[in-house]
Amino acid sequence: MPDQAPEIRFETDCLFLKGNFTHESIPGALKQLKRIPAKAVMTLDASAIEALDSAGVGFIEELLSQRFPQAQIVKIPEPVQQTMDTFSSLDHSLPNPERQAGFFEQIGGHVYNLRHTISEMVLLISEVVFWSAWGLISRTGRRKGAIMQQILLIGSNAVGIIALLSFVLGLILALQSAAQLRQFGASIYVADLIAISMVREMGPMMTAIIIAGRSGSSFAAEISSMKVSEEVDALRMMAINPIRYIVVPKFLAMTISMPLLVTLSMILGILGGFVIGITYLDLTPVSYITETLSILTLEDLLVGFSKSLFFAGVIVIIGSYFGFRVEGGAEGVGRVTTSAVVASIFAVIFLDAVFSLIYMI
Amino acid sequence: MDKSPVIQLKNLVTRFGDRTILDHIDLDFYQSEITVILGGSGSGKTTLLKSILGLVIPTEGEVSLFGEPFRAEDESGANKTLQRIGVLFQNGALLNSISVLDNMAIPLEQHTALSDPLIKRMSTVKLGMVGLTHAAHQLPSELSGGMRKRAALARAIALDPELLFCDEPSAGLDPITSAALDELILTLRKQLNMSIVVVTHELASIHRIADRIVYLSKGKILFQGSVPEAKICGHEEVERFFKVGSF
Repeated sequence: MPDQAPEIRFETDCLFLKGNFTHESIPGALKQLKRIPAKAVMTLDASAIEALDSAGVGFIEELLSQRFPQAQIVKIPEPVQQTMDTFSSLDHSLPNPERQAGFFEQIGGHVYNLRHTISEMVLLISEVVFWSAWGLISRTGRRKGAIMQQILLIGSNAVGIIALLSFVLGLILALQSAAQLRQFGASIYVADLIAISMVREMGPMMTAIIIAGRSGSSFAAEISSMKVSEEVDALRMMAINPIRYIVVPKFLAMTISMPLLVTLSMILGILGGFVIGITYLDLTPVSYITETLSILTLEDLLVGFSKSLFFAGVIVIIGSYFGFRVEGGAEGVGRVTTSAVVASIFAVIFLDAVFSLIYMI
Repeated sequence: MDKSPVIQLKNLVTRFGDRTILDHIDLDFYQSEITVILGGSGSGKTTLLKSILGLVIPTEGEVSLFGEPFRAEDESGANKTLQRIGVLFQNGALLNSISVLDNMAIPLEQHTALSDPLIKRMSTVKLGMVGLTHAAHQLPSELSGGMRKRAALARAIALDPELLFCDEPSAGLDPITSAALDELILTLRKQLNMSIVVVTHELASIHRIADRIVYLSKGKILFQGSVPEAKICGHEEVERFFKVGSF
């Protein structure tokens, strides 16, 4: 097909369209149109149109409806007429797009929906707790090895990253505080500072944040993809409670793994401080260890561990909640996974603040 | 009818590891003809389609589209050719994050300098041709399987391609929707002189649209010709295919 650029010629009151009107040539044709007075055109002569595609049809329709509303199109060759019929937009109209909610309406909507979120969350928590307790007394419906497998995934596989990060955190805390404390000749109190902050605050929180990113996201991803591929429905139809089957082993495994990981994090954090203490601050190993042991009380440890148990529950519940709430296909899985991580990290930090307040009183 | 080949495959071989999927295929596809590629599962139909389009790089051999060698490695050259081609994927492959109407508009926005109202008008027409204007503002994930496939066809023809590839257009559709889709494919061929390559299993659909069928088996062409010829071609597998499915 020879590529003939469109040519628009205007004589008396008639517009002659000649050549190809395709999506490639229409921008050029539009330029030629600029010179033509809109009011004067009474007819469009289509007899010399060589090629027309859907863009060309749309172009001609726009000419007729917008630019030259008084004009008629004449002398349409048979193939052109056929193309125009095929791509005519006259019998197609779009529905109005749905109205977008305004700013305040959106906020109101979120608040209004919060009651569903809360009631669903409470239901999920009650079911998880009920079936966990039931599993302790009844032997039916247990999945062999499920808890161990989850402990491996949540706990053992996270040992490396938690150990490394806690050690580095200990180093950083000790270095930063050492610079200040040394000015007062109070270097030895670095040991106290590291011990208290790692055991009461940083250990449980760091671990919880890492686990929220590692396991919370994987819970949400696993459960949501199971739901999307109808596996959750399939479990239900086999008369198996999906929460009991999927969530409870994770919950129990998390409750077991979390305090252990937190212990690891505390020890490694203190070790980080210890390394700085004996190298940078010239403390003796014995004095550092004695100072650490003398400042720590049983209460500090209990505070740390009690927090970590709460964090464990929160991460499982939030991860599962978002997993079960998935909508849409693969895209929904990605969305709920992100939401689960954000929400559980938020919840962990918020809860930590609440605990700090409670223990202060 | 103009009988110049639109697609020419010369000695095409595609291997994955040491499995040979396509085994020395020589095949021509002609202008404004609907060619249906048939064959059992694992016979290499989809790989053939992907090898032609460069989604799978053939191990040996040459693909020519519109009379020129087509190499996917040369991206700018390939893009020019790809604008003349529409592809309907098996599962639609609509972009899920934007509305159906915006899906129609993507190729127009990216490859033409047309004005927004004109693009909207054209997208609307294409949606109207597949009967989906009512779903224009919905997201693809909110559509049913059949609607998604129709929307995908509308997107494939957004730039009025000269060559259309359809990978199992009627799989998973009810017979009425499937027939309407076939009707649309026939219209496109007739009105726009489109050359169309269809991979399908549906006998009803094959009878309705096929000008020529190509039967693949174990990476080789077992038979090519018209449907009536296929029924008496003497190849047991081909004849059984048409016998088993007829009612």
